[in-house]
Amino acid sequence: MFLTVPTILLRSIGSAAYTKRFCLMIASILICLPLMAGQAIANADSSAKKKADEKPLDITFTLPEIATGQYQRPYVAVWIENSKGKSVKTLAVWHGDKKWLKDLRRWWRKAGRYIESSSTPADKALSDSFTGATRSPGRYSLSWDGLDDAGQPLADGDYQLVLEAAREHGSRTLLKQKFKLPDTNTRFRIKAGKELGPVEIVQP
Amino acid sequence: MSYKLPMKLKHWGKKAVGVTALALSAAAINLSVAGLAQAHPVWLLPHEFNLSGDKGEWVTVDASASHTIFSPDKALSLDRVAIFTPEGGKQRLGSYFKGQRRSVFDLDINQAGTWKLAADRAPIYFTFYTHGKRNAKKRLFADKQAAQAQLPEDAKNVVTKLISVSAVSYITWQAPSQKVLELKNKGLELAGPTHPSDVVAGDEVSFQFFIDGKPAANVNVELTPHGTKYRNDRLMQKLKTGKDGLLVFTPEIVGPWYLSAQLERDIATDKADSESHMLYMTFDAQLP
Repeated sequence: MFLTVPTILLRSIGSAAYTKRFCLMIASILICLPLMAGQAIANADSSAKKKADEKPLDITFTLPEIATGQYQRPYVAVWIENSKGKSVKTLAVWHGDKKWLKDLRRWWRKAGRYIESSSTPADKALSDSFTGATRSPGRYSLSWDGLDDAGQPLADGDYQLVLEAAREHGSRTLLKQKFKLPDTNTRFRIKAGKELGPVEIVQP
Repeated sequence: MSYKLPMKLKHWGKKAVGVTALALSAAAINLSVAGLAQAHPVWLLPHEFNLSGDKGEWVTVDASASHTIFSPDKALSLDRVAIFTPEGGKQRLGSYFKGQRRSVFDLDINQAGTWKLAADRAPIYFTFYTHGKRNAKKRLFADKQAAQAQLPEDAKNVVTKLISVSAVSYITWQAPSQKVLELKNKGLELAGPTHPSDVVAGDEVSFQFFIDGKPAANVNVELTPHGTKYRNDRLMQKLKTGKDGLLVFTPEIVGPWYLSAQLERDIATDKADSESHMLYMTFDAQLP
Protein backbone atom coordinates (compact mmCIF):
# COMPACT_ATOMS: atom_id res chain seq x y z
CA MET A 1 0.00 0.00 0.00
CA PHE A 2 2.87 2.32 0.85
CA LEU A 3 4.36 1.90 -2.58
CA THR A 4 1.17 2.57 -4.48
CA VAL A 5 1.10 6.33 -4.05
CA PRO A 6 4.60 7.24 -5.19
CA THR A 7 4.43 4.82 -8.07
CA ILE A 8 1.31 6.40 -9.43
CA LEU A 9 2.62 9.86 -8.71
CA LEU A 10 5.81 9.34 -10.64
CA ARG A 11 4.21 7.61 -13.54
CA SER A 12 1.52 10.24 -13.85
CA ILE A 13 4.08 13.03 -14.07
CA GLY A 14 5.62 11.53 -17.15
CA SER A 15 2.27 10.70 -18.70
CA ALA A 16 0.17 12.56 -21.23
CA ALA A 17 -3.02 11.61 -19.47
CA TYR A 18 -2.03 13.92 -16.68
CA THR A 19 -5.39 15.16 -15.42
CA LYS A 20 -7.05 11.80 -15.26
CA ARG A 21 -4.15 10.24 -13.39
CA PHE A 22 -3.95 13.22 -11.09
CA CYS A 23 -7.51 12.61 -9.93
CA LEU A 24 -6.67 8.98 -9.39
CA MET A 25 -3.62 10.01 -7.41
CA ILE A 26 -5.55 12.34 -5.13
CA ALA A 27 -8.04 9.58 -4.54
CA SER A 28 -5.23 7.19 -3.62
CA ILE A 29 -3.69 9.64 -1.22
CA LEU A 30 -7.03 10.22 0.45
CA ILE A 31 -7.46 6.51 0.88
CA CYS A 32 -3.92 5.96 2.05
CA LEU A 33 -3.53 8.85 4.45
CA PRO A 34 -5.41 7.41 7.42
CA LEU A 35 -3.62 4.11 6.92
CA MET A 36 -0.21 5.77 6.79
CA ALA A 37 -0.90 7.77 9.93
CA GLY A 38 -2.06 4.65 11.70
CA GLN A 39 1.04 2.73 10.70
CA ALA A 40 3.33 5.53 11.72
CA ILE A 41 1.92 5.45 15.22
CA ALA A 42 2.07 1.69 15.35
CA ASN A 43 5.70 1.68 14.21
CA ALA A 44 6.90 4.42 16.52
CA ASP A 45 8.12 1.97 19.15
CA SER A 46 9.93 -0.28 16.74
CA SER A 47 11.65 2.52 14.75
CA ALA A 48 15.11 1.26 15.69
CA LYS A 49 14.29 -2.21 14.48
CA LYS A 50 12.74 -0.79 11.34
CA LYS A 51 15.96 1.08 10.53
CA ALA A 52 17.90 -2.16 10.50
CA ASP A 53 15.40 -3.75 8.14
CA GLU A 54 15.36 -0.79 5.80
CA LYS A 55 16.22 -1.29 2.16
CA PRO A 56 17.38 2.12 0.92
CA LEU A 57 17.78 0.82 -2.63
CA ASP A 58 16.13 -1.85 -4.70
CA ILE A 59 17.90 -2.31 -8.02
CA THR A 60 16.65 -4.30 -10.96
CA PHE A 61 18.66 -4.59 -14.15
CA THR A 62 18.85 -6.56 -17.35
CA LEU A 63 21.74 -8.41 -18.90
CA PRO A 64 20.71 -8.33 -22.54
CA GLU A 65 20.63 -11.23 -24.93
CA ILE A 66 23.38 -10.64 -27.44
CA ALA A 67 23.36 -12.62 -30.67
CA THR A 68 26.96 -13.40 -31.47
CA GLY A 69 28.97 -16.49 -32.22
CA GLN A 70 31.46 -15.70 -29.48
CA TYR A 71 29.18 -15.04 -26.54
CA GLN A 72 30.70 -15.25 -23.09
CA ARG A 73 28.67 -14.11 -20.09
CA PRO A 74 29.66 -10.62 -18.95
CA TYR A 75 31.57 -9.69 -15.83
CA VAL A 76 29.33 -7.40 -13.79
CA ALA A 77 29.93 -5.11 -10.81
CA VAL A 78 27.40 -3.03 -8.88
CA TRP A 79 28.57 -0.65 -6.17
CA ILE A 80 27.99 2.65 -4.41
CA GLU A 81 30.32 5.65 -4.42
CA ASN A 82 30.21 8.64 -2.10
CA SER A 83 30.18 12.25 -3.32
CA LYS A 84 33.97 12.17 -3.69
CA GLY A 85 33.84 9.15 -5.96
CA LYS A 86 35.19 6.76 -3.34
CA SER A 87 33.64 3.30 -3.34
CA VAL A 88 31.82 2.72 -0.05
CA LYS A 89 29.88 -0.45 -0.74
CA THR A 90 30.17 -3.19 -3.32
CA LEU A 91 26.83 -4.92 -3.81
CA ALA A 92 27.73 -7.55 -6.37
CA VAL A 93 30.57 -8.73 -8.59
CA TRP A 94 29.92 -11.58 -10.96
CA HIS A 95 33.07 -12.91 -12.55
CA GLY A 96 35.07 -15.87 -13.81
CA ASP A 97 38.88 -15.98 -13.94
CA LYS A 98 40.17 -13.09 -11.85
CA LYS A 99 42.75 -12.37 -14.54
CA TRP A 100 40.01 -10.39 -16.28
CA LEU A 101 38.55 -8.67 -13.21
CA LYS A 102 40.56 -5.61 -14.20
CA ASP A 103 38.30 -5.30 -17.25
CA LEU A 104 35.71 -3.98 -14.82
CA ARG A 105 38.00 -0.98 -14.97
CA ARG A 106 36.26 1.40 -12.67
CA TRP A 107 35.26 -1.12 -10.02
CA TRP A 108 38.71 -2.68 -10.07
CA ARG A 109 40.37 0.69 -9.62
CA LYS A 110 38.00 2.02 -6.97
CA ALA A 111 37.39 -1.09 -4.90
CA GLY A 112 38.48 -4.45 -6.29
CA ARG A 113 42.22 -4.05 -6.16
CA TYR A 114 42.13 -3.07 -2.48
CA ILE A 115 39.74 -5.79 -1.38
CA GLU A 116 41.37 -8.52 -3.47
CA SER A 117 44.88 -7.71 -2.31
CA SER A 118 43.91 -7.69 1.35
CA SER A 119 44.44 -10.88 3.31
CA THR A 120 42.45 -9.89 6.39
CA PRO A 121 39.60 -12.29 7.28
CA ALA A 122 37.20 -9.31 7.17
CA ASP A 123 38.13 -8.51 3.57
CA LYS A 124 38.02 -12.17 2.57
CA ALA A 125 34.53 -12.38 4.05
CA LEU A 126 33.62 -9.12 2.34
CA SER A 127 34.82 -10.43 -1.01
CA ASP A 128 32.85 -13.66 -0.48
CA SER A 129 29.75 -11.66 0.38
CA PHE A 130 29.44 -9.96 -2.98
CA THR A 131 31.18 -12.19 -5.51
CA GLY A 132 29.47 -14.82 -7.57
CA ALA A 133 29.68 -16.62 -10.87
CA THR A 134 28.77 -14.87 -14.11
CA ARG A 135 25.05 -14.92 -15.01
CA SER A 136 23.17 -15.60 -18.22
CA PRO A 137 21.14 -12.90 -19.93
CA GLY A 138 18.04 -12.04 -17.89
CA ARG A 139 16.53 -9.68 -15.34
CA TYR A 140 18.19 -9.49 -11.92
CA SER A 141 17.39 -7.77 -8.63
CA LEU A 142 19.63 -6.54 -5.83
CA SER A 143 18.76 -4.86 -2.55
CA TRP A 144 20.98 -2.61 -0.52
CA ASP A 145 20.51 -2.29 3.23
CA GLY A 146 22.16 1.15 3.53
CA LEU A 147 25.30 -0.21 5.20
CA ASP A 148 28.83 0.28 3.88
CA ASP A 149 31.47 -2.40 3.29
CA ALA A 150 32.30 -2.38 7.00
CA GLY A 151 28.66 -2.89 7.99
CA GLN A 152 28.19 0.67 9.23
CA PRO A 153 25.26 2.88 8.24
CA LEU A 154 26.26 5.59 5.77
CA ALA A 155 26.00 9.25 6.67
CA ASP A 156 23.26 11.32 5.03
CA GLY A 157 24.38 12.93 1.79
CA ASP A 158 24.88 12.47 -1.93
CA TYR A 159 25.81 9.11 -3.37
CA GLN A 160 26.02 7.40 -6.71
CA LEU A 161 25.05 3.91 -7.74
CA VAL A 162 27.39 2.51 -10.39
CA LEU A 163 26.89 -0.54 -12.59
CA GLU A 164 29.62 -1.84 -14.88
CA ALA A 165 29.60 -4.78 -17.28
CA ALA A 166 32.40 -6.02 -19.53
CA ARG A 167 32.28 -8.99 -21.84
CA GLU A 168 35.03 -10.96 -23.52
CA HIS A 169 35.00 -10.27 -27.26
CA GLY A 170 32.30 -7.71 -26.44
CA SER A 171 31.94 -4.21 -25.08
CA ARG A 172 31.94 -2.47 -21.74
CA THR A 173 29.02 -0.53 -20.31
CA LEU A 174 29.20 1.84 -17.36
CA LEU A 175 25.97 3.22 -15.90
CA LYS A 176 25.61 5.70 -13.04
CA GLN A 177 22.76 7.16 -11.02
CA LYS A 178 23.07 9.80 -8.33
CA PHE A 179 20.81 9.59 -5.28
CA LYS A 180 20.45 11.10 -1.81
CA LEU A 181 20.37 9.55 1.60
CA PRO A 182 17.90 9.63 3.17
CA ASP A 183 15.20 9.71 0.55
CA THR A 184 11.98 7.86 0.00
CA ASN A 185 9.40 7.40 -2.69
CA THR A 186 11.98 7.91 -5.38
CA ARG A 187 12.40 5.95 -8.53
CA PHE A 188 15.06 6.15 -11.22
CA ARG A 189 15.46 4.51 -14.58
CA ILE A 190 18.71 4.28 -16.55
CA LYS A 191 18.60 3.58 -20.24
CA ALA A 192 20.27 0.42 -21.46
CA GLY A 193 23.85 0.36 -22.69
CA LYS A 194 25.24 -2.33 -24.96
CA GLU A 195 26.07 -4.80 -22.22
CA LEU A 196 23.79 -3.75 -19.38
CA GLY A 197 20.40 -2.27 -18.68
CA PRO A 198 17.85 -0.89 -18.53
CA VAL A 199 18.10 -0.38 -14.77
CA GLU A 200 15.26 0.42 -12.36
CA ILE A 201 16.21 1.87 -9.00
CA VAL A 202 13.71 2.40 -6.20
CA GLN A 203 14.19 4.13 -2.88
CA PRO A 204 11.05 2.82 -1.15
CA MET B 1 68.21 11.71 -40.26
CA SER B 2 71.43 9.79 -39.95
CA TYR B 3 73.94 9.91 -37.19
CA LYS B 4 77.54 8.87 -36.99
CA LEU B 5 78.06 6.28 -34.33
CA PRO B 6 80.37 7.60 -31.67
CA MET B 7 83.72 5.86 -31.76
CA LYS B 8 84.56 6.19 -28.10
CA LEU B 9 82.03 4.35 -26.10
CA LYS B 10 83.93 3.30 -23.02
CA HIS B 11 81.45 5.07 -20.78
CA TRP B 12 78.59 3.11 -22.19
CA GLY B 13 79.55 -0.36 -21.11
CA LYS B 14 80.61 -3.16 -23.39
CA LYS B 15 77.30 -4.11 -24.93
CA ALA B 16 75.72 -0.73 -25.12
CA VAL B 17 77.07 0.13 -28.53
CA GLY B 18 73.63 -0.42 -30.01
CA VAL B 19 70.95 1.99 -30.85
CA THR B 20 70.50 3.40 -27.38
CA ALA B 21 73.87 4.93 -27.90
CA LEU B 22 72.71 6.11 -31.28
CA ALA B 23 69.58 7.64 -29.85
CA LEU B 24 71.57 9.27 -27.12
CA SER B 25 74.21 10.65 -29.37
CA ALA B 26 71.40 12.05 -31.45
CA ALA B 27 70.20 13.73 -28.31
CA ALA B 28 73.64 15.08 -27.73
CA ILE B 29 74.02 16.46 -31.22
CA ASN B 30 70.75 18.25 -30.85
CA LEU B 31 71.86 19.59 -27.53
CA SER B 32 74.46 21.61 -29.26
CA VAL B 33 72.16 23.05 -31.87
CA ALA B 34 68.56 23.07 -30.84
CA GLY B 35 68.41 22.14 -27.20
CA LEU B 36 66.96 18.97 -25.81
CA ALA B 37 63.55 19.31 -27.36
CA GLN B 38 64.67 17.31 -30.38
CA ALA B 39 66.31 14.45 -28.52
CA HIS B 40 65.11 11.04 -29.58
CA PRO B 41 62.36 10.08 -27.16
CA VAL B 42 63.30 6.84 -25.44
CA TRP B 43 60.42 4.76 -24.15
CA LEU B 44 59.32 1.59 -22.46
CA LEU B 45 55.80 0.47 -23.26
CA PRO B 46 54.27 -2.25 -21.09
CA HIS B 47 51.22 -3.78 -22.75
CA GLU B 48 49.47 -4.13 -19.38
CA PHE B 49 49.64 -1.53 -16.66
CA ASN B 50 47.21 -3.07 -14.19
CA LEU B 51 46.74 -6.73 -13.34
CA SER B 52 44.07 -8.48 -11.30
CA GLY B 53 44.72 -12.23 -11.44
CA ASP B 54 45.07 -14.32 -8.29
CA LYS B 55 48.30 -15.71 -9.72
CA GLY B 56 51.27 -13.84 -11.10
CA GLU B 57 51.22 -12.94 -14.78
CA TRP B 58 53.63 -12.20 -17.58
CA VAL B 59 53.64 -8.79 -19.16
CA THR B 60 55.26 -8.00 -22.48
CA VAL B 61 57.13 -4.70 -22.82
CA ASP B 62 58.40 -2.83 -25.90
CA ALA B 63 61.55 -0.73 -25.69
CA SER B 64 62.37 1.70 -28.45
CA ALA B 65 63.19 5.30 -29.27
CA SER B 66 61.05 7.27 -31.67
CA HIS B 67 59.39 10.58 -32.34
CA THR B 68 56.16 8.86 -33.35
CA ILE B 69 54.54 7.83 -30.06
CA PHE B 70 54.53 4.76 -29.65
CA SER B 71 55.69 3.47 -33.03
CA PRO B 72 59.05 1.72 -32.69
CA ASP B 73 61.97 3.24 -34.57
CA LYS B 74 65.32 2.55 -32.89
CA ALA B 75 65.57 -0.57 -30.75
CA LEU B 76 66.95 0.00 -27.24
CA SER B 77 69.71 -2.06 -25.77
CA LEU B 78 68.22 -4.08 -22.93
CA ASP B 79 71.49 -4.35 -21.02
CA ARG B 80 70.68 -1.41 -18.84
CA VAL B 81 67.04 -2.18 -18.21
CA ALA B 82 66.40 -2.68 -14.51
CA ILE B 83 63.22 -4.02 -12.96
CA PHE B 84 62.39 -3.06 -9.38
CA THR B 85 59.92 -5.17 -7.43
CA PRO B 86 57.30 -3.83 -5.00
CA GLU B 87 59.27 -5.23 -2.08
CA GLY B 88 62.43 -3.42 -3.07
CA GLY B 89 64.31 -6.16 -4.88
CA LYS B 90 65.20 -6.62 -8.52
CA GLN B 91 63.77 -8.98 -11.10
CA ARG B 92 65.42 -10.58 -14.12
CA LEU B 93 63.91 -10.15 -17.54
CA GLY B 94 62.15 -13.13 -19.07
CA SER B 95 62.47 -13.83 -22.78
CA TYR B 96 63.86 -10.89 -24.69
CA PHE B 97 64.66 -9.88 -28.20
CA LYS B 98 66.39 -7.01 -29.87
CA GLY B 99 65.32 -6.24 -33.39
CA GLN B 100 66.25 -3.40 -35.68
CA ARG B 101 63.55 -1.05 -34.53
CA ARG B 102 62.21 -2.51 -31.34
CA SER B 103 63.37 -4.50 -28.38
CA VAL B 104 60.90 -6.64 -26.49
CA PHE B 105 61.07 -8.34 -23.15
CA ASP B 106 58.74 -10.42 -21.02
CA LEU B 107 58.41 -9.73 -17.36
CA ASP B 108 57.15 -12.14 -14.70
CA ILE B 109 55.01 -10.06 -12.37
CA ASN B 110 54.99 -12.31 -9.33
CA GLN B 111 54.63 -9.87 -6.42
CA ALA B 112 51.53 -7.82 -5.69
CA GLY B 113 52.03 -4.07 -5.71
CA THR B 114 53.69 -1.56 -8.00
CA TRP B 115 56.73 -2.42 -10.12
CA LYS B 116 59.13 0.02 -11.69
CA LEU B 117 60.73 -0.56 -15.07
CA ALA B 118 63.74 1.62 -15.82
CA ALA B 119 66.05 1.95 -18.79
CA ASP B 120 68.75 4.11 -17.24
CA ARG B 121 71.91 5.41 -18.73
CA ALA B 122 74.89 6.11 -16.50
CA PRO B 123 75.61 9.85 -16.63
CA ILE B 124 77.90 10.63 -19.55
CA TYR B 125 80.03 13.67 -20.40
CA PHE B 126 79.92 15.41 -23.74
CA THR B 127 82.30 18.20 -24.62
CA PHE B 128 81.14 20.46 -27.45
CA TYR B 129 83.36 22.88 -29.30
CA THR B 130 83.83 24.63 -32.60
CA HIS B 131 87.03 24.90 -34.56
CA GLY B 132 88.64 25.61 -37.90
CA LYS B 133 87.99 28.44 -40.33
CA ARG B 134 84.35 27.49 -40.64
CA ASN B 135 83.75 27.11 -36.93
CA ALA B 136 82.59 23.51 -37.46
CA LYS B 137 80.59 22.13 -34.56
CA LYS B 138 82.27 19.12 -32.97
CA ARG B 139 81.87 17.00 -29.90
CA LEU B 140 83.91 14.67 -27.77
CA PHE B 141 82.75 11.95 -25.44
CA ALA B 142 84.93 13.22 -22.67
CA ASP B 143 84.63 15.20 -19.49
CA LYS B 144 86.23 18.59 -19.09
CA GLN B 145 89.57 17.25 -17.92
CA ALA B 146 89.83 14.37 -20.36
CA ALA B 147 88.85 16.71 -23.18
CA GLN B 148 91.89 18.93 -22.58
CA ALA B 149 94.18 16.34 -24.09
CA GLN B 150 91.92 15.73 -27.07
CA LEU B 151 90.78 19.20 -28.07
CA PRO B 152 92.47 20.77 -31.09
CA GLU B 153 94.51 23.84 -30.29
CA ASP B 154 92.11 26.22 -31.96
CA ALA B 155 89.01 24.85 -30.23
CA LYS B 156 86.53 27.55 -29.32
CA ASN B 157 83.22 27.68 -27.44
CA VAL B 158 84.16 24.66 -25.38
CA VAL B 159 81.30 23.49 -23.18
CA THR B 160 81.10 20.22 -21.28
CA LYS B 161 77.73 18.80 -20.35
CA LEU B 162 76.88 15.92 -18.07
CA ILE B 163 73.86 14.10 -19.42
CA SER B 164 71.65 11.64 -17.54
CA VAL B 165 68.81 9.74 -19.16
CA SER B 166 66.19 7.55 -17.59
CA ALA B 167 63.10 6.01 -19.15
CA VAL B 168 60.63 4.54 -16.71
CA SER B 169 57.22 2.95 -16.50
CA TYR B 170 55.15 1.31 -13.79
CA ILE B 171 53.03 -1.83 -13.61
CA THR B 172 50.69 -2.63 -10.74
CA TRP B 173 49.34 -6.03 -9.75
CA GLN B 174 46.40 -5.65 -7.36
CA ALA B 175 46.66 -2.60 -5.06
CA PRO B 176 49.23 0.09 -5.88
CA SER B 177 52.20 0.46 -3.53
CA GLN B 178 54.75 3.18 -2.85
CA LYS B 179 58.12 1.49 -2.41
CA VAL B 180 59.34 1.93 -6.00
CA LEU B 181 58.34 5.60 -5.89
CA GLU B 182 60.54 6.40 -2.91
CA LEU B 183 63.06 9.08 -3.80
CA LYS B 184 66.71 8.15 -4.13
CA ASN B 185 67.59 11.85 -3.83
CA LYS B 186 69.75 11.62 -6.90
CA GLY B 187 69.15 13.23 -10.28
CA LEU B 188 65.71 14.03 -11.69
CA GLU B 189 62.97 11.95 -10.13
CA LEU B 190 59.20 11.87 -10.14
CA ALA B 191 56.89 10.92 -7.30
CA GLY B 192 53.19 11.35 -6.39
CA PRO B 193 50.89 12.78 -5.27
CA THR B 194 49.06 11.01 -8.11
CA HIS B 195 50.24 7.41 -8.25
CA PRO B 196 51.15 6.41 -11.83
CA SER B 197 48.58 3.61 -11.56
CA ASP B 198 45.84 6.07 -10.61
CA VAL B 199 45.81 8.20 -13.74
CA VAL B 200 42.30 8.37 -15.20
CA ALA B 201 41.28 10.17 -18.37
CA GLY B 202 39.41 13.36 -17.49
CA ASP B 203 40.74 13.51 -13.92
CA GLU B 204 43.36 16.01 -12.81
CA VAL B 205 46.82 14.52 -12.30
CA SER B 206 49.62 15.94 -10.13
CA PHE B 207 53.16 14.66 -10.48
CA GLN B 208 55.92 16.15 -8.41
CA PHE B 209 59.47 16.37 -9.75
CA PHE B 210 62.61 16.39 -7.65
CA ILE B 211 66.22 17.17 -8.40
CA ASP B 212 68.63 15.53 -5.97
CA GLY B 213 65.73 15.09 -3.57
CA LYS B 214 64.52 18.70 -3.64
CA PRO B 215 61.40 19.92 -5.48
CA ALA B 216 62.44 20.81 -9.04
CA ALA B 217 60.92 24.01 -10.42
CA ASN B 218 60.84 24.91 -14.12
CA VAL B 219 61.30 21.39 -15.40
CA ASN B 220 60.35 21.40 -19.08
CA VAL B 221 57.74 18.74 -19.65
CA GLU B 222 56.16 17.48 -22.83
CA LEU B 223 53.08 15.27 -22.69
CA THR B 224 51.97 13.30 -25.72
CA PRO B 225 49.12 10.82 -25.96
CA HIS B 226 49.68 7.60 -27.92
CA GLY B 227 48.87 7.22 -31.59
CA THR B 228 50.52 10.27 -33.14
CA LYS B 229 50.79 8.22 -36.34
CA TYR B 230 47.03 8.23 -36.70
CA ARG B 231 46.21 11.91 -36.38
CA ASN B 232 47.22 15.25 -37.82
CA ASP B 233 47.67 17.12 -34.57
CA ARG B 234 50.40 15.71 -32.34
CA LEU B 235 48.36 16.95 -29.33
CA MET B 236 51.56 17.50 -27.42
CA GLN B 237 51.33 19.76 -24.40
CA LYS B 238 54.36 21.73 -23.26
CA LEU B 239 54.30 22.45 -19.57
CA LYS B 240 56.60 23.52 -16.77
CA THR B 241 56.67 22.47 -13.16
CA GLY B 242 55.77 25.07 -10.54
CA LYS B 243 58.12 26.20 -7.82
CA ASP B 244 57.04 23.26 -5.68
CA GLY B 245 58.04 20.93 -8.52
CA LEU B 246 54.41 20.13 -9.27
CA LEU B 247 53.13 19.35 -12.73
CA VAL B 248 49.35 19.53 -12.94
CA PHE B 249 47.42 18.42 -16.00
CA THR B 250 44.32 16.54 -17.10
CA PRO B 251 44.79 13.81 -19.69
CA GLU B 252 41.67 13.72 -21.84
CA ILE B 253 42.64 10.78 -24.03
CA VAL B 254 42.43 7.20 -22.75
CA GLY B 255 45.49 5.02 -23.22
CA PRO B 256 49.26 5.25 -22.84
CA TRP B 257 50.88 8.70 -22.64
CA TYR B 258 54.48 9.70 -23.07
CA LEU B 259 55.95 12.15 -20.59
CA SER B 260 59.29 13.74 -21.37
CA ALA B 261 60.88 15.87 -18.66
CA GLN B 262 64.11 17.79 -19.00
CA LEU B 263 66.03 19.92 -16.59
CA GLU B 264 69.25 21.71 -17.45
CA ARG B 265 71.32 23.59 -14.92
CA ASP B 266 74.80 24.98 -14.54
CA ILE B 267 77.16 23.10 -12.32
CA ALA B 268 80.57 24.27 -11.39
CA THR B 269 82.65 21.14 -11.17
CA ASP B 270 86.02 20.41 -12.67
CA LYS B 271 84.39 17.85 -14.96
CA ALA B 272 81.46 19.72 -16.51
CA ASP B 273 79.92 23.18 -16.96
CA SER B 274 76.31 22.10 -16.94
CA GLU B 275 74.19 19.05 -16.50
CA SER B 276 71.08 17.85 -18.27
CA HIS B 277 68.63 15.41 -16.80
CA MET B 278 66.14 13.69 -19.02
CA LEU B 279 63.39 11.66 -17.47
CA TYR B 280 60.93 9.83 -19.69
CA MET B 281 57.85 8.09 -18.41
CA THR B 282 55.12 6.05 -20.03
CA PHE B 283 51.87 6.00 -18.08
CA ASP B 284 48.37 4.80 -18.78
CA ALA B 285 45.34 7.08 -18.64
CA GLN B 286 42.61 4.64 -17.73
CA LEU B 287 38.97 4.57 -18.79
CA PRO B 288 36.86 6.60 -16.33
